[in-house]
Amino acid sequence: MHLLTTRHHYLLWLLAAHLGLCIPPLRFPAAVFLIAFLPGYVIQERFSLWKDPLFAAVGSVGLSFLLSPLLVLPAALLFGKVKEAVIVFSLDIFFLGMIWGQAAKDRVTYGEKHHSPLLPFLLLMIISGIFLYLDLTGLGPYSEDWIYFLGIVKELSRNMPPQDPEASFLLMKYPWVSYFYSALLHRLGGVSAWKVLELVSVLFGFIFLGLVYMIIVQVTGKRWAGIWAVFFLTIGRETEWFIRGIQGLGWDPFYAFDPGWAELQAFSVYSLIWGWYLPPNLIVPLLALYFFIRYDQFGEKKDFWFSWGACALSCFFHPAYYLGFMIGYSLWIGLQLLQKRFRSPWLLFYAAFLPYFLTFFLLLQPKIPADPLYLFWGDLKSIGISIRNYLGHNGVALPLALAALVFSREARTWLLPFALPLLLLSVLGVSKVNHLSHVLFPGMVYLSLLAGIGVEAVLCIRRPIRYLAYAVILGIIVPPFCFHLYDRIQTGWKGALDQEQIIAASFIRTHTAEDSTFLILPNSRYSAACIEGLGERRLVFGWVFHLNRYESVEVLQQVVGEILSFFSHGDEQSKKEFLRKYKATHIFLGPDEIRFMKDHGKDPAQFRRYYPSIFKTPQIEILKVDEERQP
Amino acid sequence: MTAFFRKKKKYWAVIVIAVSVFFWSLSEVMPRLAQQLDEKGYEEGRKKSLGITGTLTFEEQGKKKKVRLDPIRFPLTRQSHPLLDREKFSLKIIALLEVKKAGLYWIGSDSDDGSWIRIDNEQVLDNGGLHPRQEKTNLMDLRPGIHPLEIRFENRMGEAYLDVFWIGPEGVRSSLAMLPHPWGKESAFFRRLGYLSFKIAQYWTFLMLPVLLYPLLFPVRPSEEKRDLAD
Repeated sequence: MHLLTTRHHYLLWLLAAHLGLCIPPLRFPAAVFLIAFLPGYVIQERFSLWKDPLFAAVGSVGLSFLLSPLLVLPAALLFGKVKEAVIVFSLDIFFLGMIWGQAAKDRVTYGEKHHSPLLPFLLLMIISGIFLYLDLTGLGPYSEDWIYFLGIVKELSRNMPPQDPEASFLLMKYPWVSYFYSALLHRLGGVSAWKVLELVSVLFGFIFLGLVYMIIVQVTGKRWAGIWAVFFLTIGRETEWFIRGIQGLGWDPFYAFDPGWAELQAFSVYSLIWGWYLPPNLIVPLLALYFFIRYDQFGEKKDFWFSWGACALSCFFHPAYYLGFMIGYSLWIGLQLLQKRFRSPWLLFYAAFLPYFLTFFLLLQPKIPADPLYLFWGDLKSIGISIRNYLGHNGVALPLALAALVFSREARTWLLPFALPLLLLSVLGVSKVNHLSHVLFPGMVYLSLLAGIGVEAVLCIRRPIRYLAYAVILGIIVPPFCFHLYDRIQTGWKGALDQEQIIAASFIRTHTAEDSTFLILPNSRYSAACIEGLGERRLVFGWVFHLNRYESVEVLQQVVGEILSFFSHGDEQSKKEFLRKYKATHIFLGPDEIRFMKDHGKDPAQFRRYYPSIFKTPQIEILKVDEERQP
Repeated sequence: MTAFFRKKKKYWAVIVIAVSVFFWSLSEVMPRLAQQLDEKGYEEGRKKSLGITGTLTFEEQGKKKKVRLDPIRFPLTRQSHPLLDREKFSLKIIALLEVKKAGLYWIGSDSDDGSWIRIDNEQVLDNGGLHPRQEKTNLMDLRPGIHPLEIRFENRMGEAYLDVFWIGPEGVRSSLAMLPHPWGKESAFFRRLGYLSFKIAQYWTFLMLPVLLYPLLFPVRPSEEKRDLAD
């Protein structure tokens, strides 16, 4: 008999987390423990979901990622704000409920421990892929999407229901659950939103890579296949330089290629560094897939419901990733039908979309986007380029994936239906506005799963030759990884911020209220990076491609027209009404705004008559909207 | 290996925690120590009315030489000092910057060839490269007080020139208000050590703390553990 029962054990950890929250240096780790670990830990022990400690660890963090936002959301909506007390109160109610319902039995122990040595390996891969890379290259809000997601995290931590951080006139319609998780850590952990995004990459990387490993072990039972898949996802599968070598164009691993923005994330270690950007959306479908494989293998009902639950939540994290999963799932069902293995509960998965439909579509009523999300079929020339690029970026994984399909029945049954549609869409589909990442990234993950199985399937050969083959594969994928790192150290990040932006952002953070709204010129990356990215404040209007999926183009065009008119002409009275209508508290005059005004024959100095200047550098001026001084 | 750690659980836990605490503490203490040295340097420099000094590195008869250059006056040219009258050399100046009024300052250098300025251990200006006299400035938000300052200058060929200046909140351009820092080297060393300790602590904690908590949170059944140890 253990001295501690399960109840004592949970209460002790809960107490430790609360104590940590009261001690400033331990506040963030305690918040991580409370939000990102304990909810999943309690659930997985309650339902005895895993016998292996490593799987239980990955599962605890993964389930917490789904649970914590859901647990805090009702109270946050009730109080209209995400306060520290609201987070702690919501989670404590859940823990106490779980502990109360728990029989006073001995502590849960774990039987299998075959996968534990992988823990340091996983942590090493994540730490070198995130911390080391970032220490060497630096990190900042260098693109419109980074800025937007940071804005969402900040908005979710201060306002509920949230406004769109780039549209002061809109409720937020972008699926924001994964950012709510980061917002909870930001609020409770007392760490800046930017630092939180860097740190959650470690958590997401751990769940993501852990799940990849778990799925492979669940499908094939082979440890090394899982480790290879983790390698492929951490180091990449870049093969361009090798293909060029074979073509006689020279063996140059530092061959400078520019795969473009979306591909860059999908194909390389970036997906891990920007762990808060791509993996969170895929973690949920992967969890659904993992539980579903287990359900099909062992027929336990709890696995079915966990899979269904993850699937139903998936659309709240990202509907495009959910759709990618459902396309693969439909193909899987089709194949099962052909093999006369159909089971009626499987159809319930289509009902997993209902919670999203009921809340998102009926409540928020997004407008039909003007641009279609995917143009499915490209012209022959672009398909040719796509195939060439796909081969260049994945050459090493493709033959291995093919080998997996030939030699492994499990890979054919479980992974082919999910990988195939995404692979076809990646090659044949033509994307607009970076949406390739929605198809490419999940496709790459399933391809890496297959390639991992393929390595083990093909290389069941004598040891020295096997090790040689391992060395060849690593010899192909590691040099381009080193090139990426070297190149990034040398050239820095595109669109890195200048000193004036950094100083202005620091001023904004310290001298303006948290719920301030800034007026900038629409689509100005310079201004948005300064205010929304580093300054952590809301905008009247940010970037059109963040909004045109959820609001009609006519409305957006009207707002853009009003802002352009504000900066270029218009009488003072209409300016006053405009500012009041969009709740703008500050006007930001950066290089883009000043250039625009000068192009339209306006002097930025004329604003100062009614709007006092509170900050000025040669390129940037911030004006305060003062009701009393207005006309 | 895991069996070893499980067997020596207590020692293992003590080592993990002790190393974490040691490096976290070092990362906290070192910058404070450096600050103390800055203040001490400030007092000493004023009392003894010392001049600004630098470390000059150059090659002579195939050997690298380091000599102290004392005093340094701006603008610096090849004619400023007999030791500077050579083609290739590099110079490192560690001093203190005295800021009297808070606000935005333009920090600048005019150099032939490269020069770099670090304030508060952060690079604020990069005027590097092989070039004729070239002026560069960058903006900085400075608080009143003393700030550690480091200037690096290198001449790769031909003429040499270095001048450093700032433009304060009043918009007046003047020479940087530099003060001698007799403890500059030691202060810079402690700051670097503090940063290094912080990084070691960060990597160590993120790697080792989960490994330490792992057996506590996910205990293995005793029979399994025994079997594992026997293996």
